[in-house]
Amino acid sequence: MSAQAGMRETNVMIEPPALNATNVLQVHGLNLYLDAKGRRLHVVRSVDIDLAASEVLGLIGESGSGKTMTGLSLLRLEPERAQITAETMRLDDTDLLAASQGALRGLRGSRIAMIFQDPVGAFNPAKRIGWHAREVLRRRATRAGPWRPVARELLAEVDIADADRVLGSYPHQLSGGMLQRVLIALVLAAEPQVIIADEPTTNLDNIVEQQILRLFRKVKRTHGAAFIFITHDMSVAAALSDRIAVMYAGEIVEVGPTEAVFETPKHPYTVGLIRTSRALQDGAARLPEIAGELPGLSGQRTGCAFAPRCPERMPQCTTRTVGMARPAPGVQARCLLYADA
Amino acid sequence: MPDDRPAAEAHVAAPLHAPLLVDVQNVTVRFRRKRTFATLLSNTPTSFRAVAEADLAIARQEVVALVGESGSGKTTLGRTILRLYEPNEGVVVFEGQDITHLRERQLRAVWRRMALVFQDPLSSLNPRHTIHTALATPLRIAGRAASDVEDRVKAALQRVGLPLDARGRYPHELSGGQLQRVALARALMLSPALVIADEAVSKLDVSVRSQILNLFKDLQADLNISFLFITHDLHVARYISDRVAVMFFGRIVETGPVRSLFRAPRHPYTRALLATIDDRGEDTPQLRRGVVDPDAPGCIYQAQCPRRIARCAEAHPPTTTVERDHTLACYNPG
Ligand SMILES: Nc1ncnc2c1ncn2[C@@H]1O[C@H](COP(=O)(O)OP(=O)(O)OP(=O)(O)O)[C@@H](O)[C@H]1O
Ligand SMILES: Nc1ncnc2c1ncn2[C@@H]1O[C@H](COP(=O)(O)OP(=O)(O)O)[C@@H](O)[C@H]1O
Ligand SMILES: [Mg+2]
Ligand SMILES: [Mg+2]
Repeated sequence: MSAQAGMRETNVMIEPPALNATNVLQVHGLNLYLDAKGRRLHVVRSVDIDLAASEVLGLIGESGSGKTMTGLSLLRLEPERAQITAETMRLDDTDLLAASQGALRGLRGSRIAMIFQDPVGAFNPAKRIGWHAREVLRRRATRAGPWRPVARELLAEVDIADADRVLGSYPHQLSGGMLQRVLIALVLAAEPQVIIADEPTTNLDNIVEQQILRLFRKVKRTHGAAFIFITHDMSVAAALSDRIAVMYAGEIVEVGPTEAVFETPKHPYTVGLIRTSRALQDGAARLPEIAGELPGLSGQRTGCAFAPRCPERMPQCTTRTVGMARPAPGVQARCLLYADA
Repeated sequence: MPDDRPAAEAHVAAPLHAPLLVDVQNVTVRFRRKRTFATLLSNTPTSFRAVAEADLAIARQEVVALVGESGSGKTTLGRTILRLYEPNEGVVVFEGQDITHLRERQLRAVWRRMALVFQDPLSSLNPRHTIHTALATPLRIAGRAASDVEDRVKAALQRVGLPLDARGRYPHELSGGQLQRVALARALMLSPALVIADEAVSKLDVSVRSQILNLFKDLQADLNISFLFITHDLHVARYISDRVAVMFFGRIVETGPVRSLFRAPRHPYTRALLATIDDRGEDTPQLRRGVVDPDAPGCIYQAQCPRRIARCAEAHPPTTTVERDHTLACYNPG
């Protein structure tokens, strides 16, 4: 905690967005440490997230950069061997760090929910999909009457065209993509305020993906749900998000309005990421690569985590602590190219 | 070897006229479901047809992408080619041999010629085995000499761009991209003729995915391998494949060379699918989504099809060749 506080001083203080009063989720200085075989990994590093009602924050970045761990922390579903510290971590008026297990259980699903990257774990393998749907609908308890027609409707919203078979199937009888769609339908049915969607369309074809994005927009409109939308698909992120945050090796390295980040990316990592993803879309004959690998997550870090792979590296990048700079209105980038000093 | 592979373009032009490696003919795969009180009451059928009357050929050195809706049967068809499933109807021919009903003992020799790469490399590697063990095991089982094993493990690591010191590491000590390289190296250990990659890059982030896709391309060019690349990502399909097969609810509705299929898709489902890739805007029209009953007569796509005509309700359209290497199952194509 203390080392973190020291580090933050060198950062430009991050102003909460103007919408502060209505922010449903406020997270400042979130850190997550994991004990792995006697080594202590610093997996999420001083992350700030402010989310207003109806807002979608797209969270992108390399696998292993800490996106899922950030999401799990917000639900307080971090692994057992993990420790979390934060200056602020609030959902509305609830302090997520201080809340009891019981209180958290009450929040999860109903006020803050996660569409997990791996849908299999979210289902009871011994129960059919229909049983799961009934559980969710029973808890919602808005409508009496038979559950099956409501469940059919929910599945139709995620483009499942043979709902009756799916309701009668066990989780292992469905393909990965179908299970992912069912999970989305069930999570949305509970109408949570904040939805963390962890790569929810990775297993889906484009037609279904579009339908899911439409559904997310609808939920956002009709009951003001806010989303943290974790994805590595840039065009999906662009289609849905109001703002984009780019994570690298545990840190947010760039954050800003969607258009700014995609049209004029500032951080060299973001630049590479966007160039690579455009190449595939544009049908390039050979895809450009960002050479190298993510750095390790153990221990103290001096300098910029991306420096070893960075085409713009300067000598001071490996020696100075790199804070957030403001290269453009509303945009922050953790890069010395934009530091004033 | 690299030299006898013609330039990419020539290769694309005539894949199916090379000798066939895989020939799937009229294959149907059903999953049985238990008869219970509930299924009797709700009148659900006792089996589900995951793949229906599918024809698919893969030429030597060809890369075929299999795309389609989730649940359409791509994985099931892939596993049937690998004979991890036995089809209920139809024939699977591999390297000229009918393998449709071979027993496991007979399949072992066939399996040395095929390999599978999964979406999630971590789940396909034993967490307690080093990378060296993971790579050496297939060779040992195949009875290769110890010295030969060492050389081949080294060569395999180099081929997929991993440092030699990766040999001593365990799966959890590697990144997702490195693990997918290991999985690929392992798939290639016995020099297979066919690699089936099931969503092998869909979990990888953009930069790692580019590295792995480039690696697939290089290996395919160097090693005389055919790939069946199962993916839901049309951009990936376009980048990696020579030919594309499109599935919907168990049926292959269209196949064609990648360029002509992307330029001029004919089946209404293919057209809808391709219409999405350059346009994710909010104003794309809502697709018609009717309830699909795979057991009902008629075309599998009729409930969702904007081009439906009277005939579509009668029987699923037969697959016809509309152009060289381009097949289609539709009465009223676009
Ligand atoms: N063991 C099983 N028992 C019953 N039905 C099954 C079983 N495995 C798969 N199915 C059904 O078969 C159909 C095809 O599944 P398959 O896994 O081949 O789909 P897929 O096209 O690979 O989908 P995805 O893109 O989501 O991976 C699905 O509708 C699924 O529900
Ligand atoms: N259970 C775990 N034990 C040890 N390390 C883990 C565990 N889960 C995740 N990690 C590590 O934490 C880092 C962040 O992981 P994650 O949040 O899943 O990344 P992302 O979602 O961005 O791909 C990675 O380096 C990963 O290897
Ligand atoms: Mg993740
Ligand atoms: Mg599959």
